[in-house]
Amino acid sequence: MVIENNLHNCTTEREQVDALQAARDYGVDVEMLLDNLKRTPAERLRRHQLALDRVKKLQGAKKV
Amino acid sequence: MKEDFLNILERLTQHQVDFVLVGGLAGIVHGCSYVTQDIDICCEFSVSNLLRIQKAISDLHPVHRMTPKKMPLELTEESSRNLKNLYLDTDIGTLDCLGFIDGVGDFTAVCKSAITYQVEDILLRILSLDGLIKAKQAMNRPRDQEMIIQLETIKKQIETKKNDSNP
Repeated sequence: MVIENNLHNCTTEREQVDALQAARDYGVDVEMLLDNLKRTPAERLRRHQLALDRVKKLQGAKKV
Repeated sequence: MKEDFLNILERLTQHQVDFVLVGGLAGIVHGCSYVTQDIDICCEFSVSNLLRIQKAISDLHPVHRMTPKKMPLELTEESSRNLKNLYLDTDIGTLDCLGFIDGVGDFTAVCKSAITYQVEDILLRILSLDGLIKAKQAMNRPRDQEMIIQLETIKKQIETKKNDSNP
């Protein structure tokens, strides 16, 4: 049972590393994702709102 | 007035709208790192629920955003009967109300695949990670690809943490 569990964990860890690498290869900022997972859902929504506000400001920028 | 997604969600909740948050903003709640510019909800398309949506956002000048002249939202019991989707613009954000989610199903199926989060003072039902992945895989537009990768990465990360805490 212990061996099975250890084998299971090894596979899971390897899968995890592969998944993170695949995401990085695709261009995803994995560190940003991992930081988000440390936040509460409310914090995630608030930070998204701030980011959206900045995007909207930039979209409204005019060439001078 | 600027976008305020949480305000819209609070209004829907306060008016007892029966809905599940789906789409990009649901991904944000799960931990995704992109920026989305609208709120997608799956909701029951009953007359009473649609009228509650209308009441919740009535002072935000809601309009049908897909109509050429941006017709104001003026639902009646009669006009609410055969609706399947509602694509709305308001003073504080875009709100798309959907009766069916590709890859998941109708509102009943979406509810079964939803989880409840406490967000500040409100309880929000949000489509699960698995449900969102299925929905995005079913849509499979170029812009869905990164979201799928992010959601799968989050799922793997959560599974690993669970395994680590239950060796």
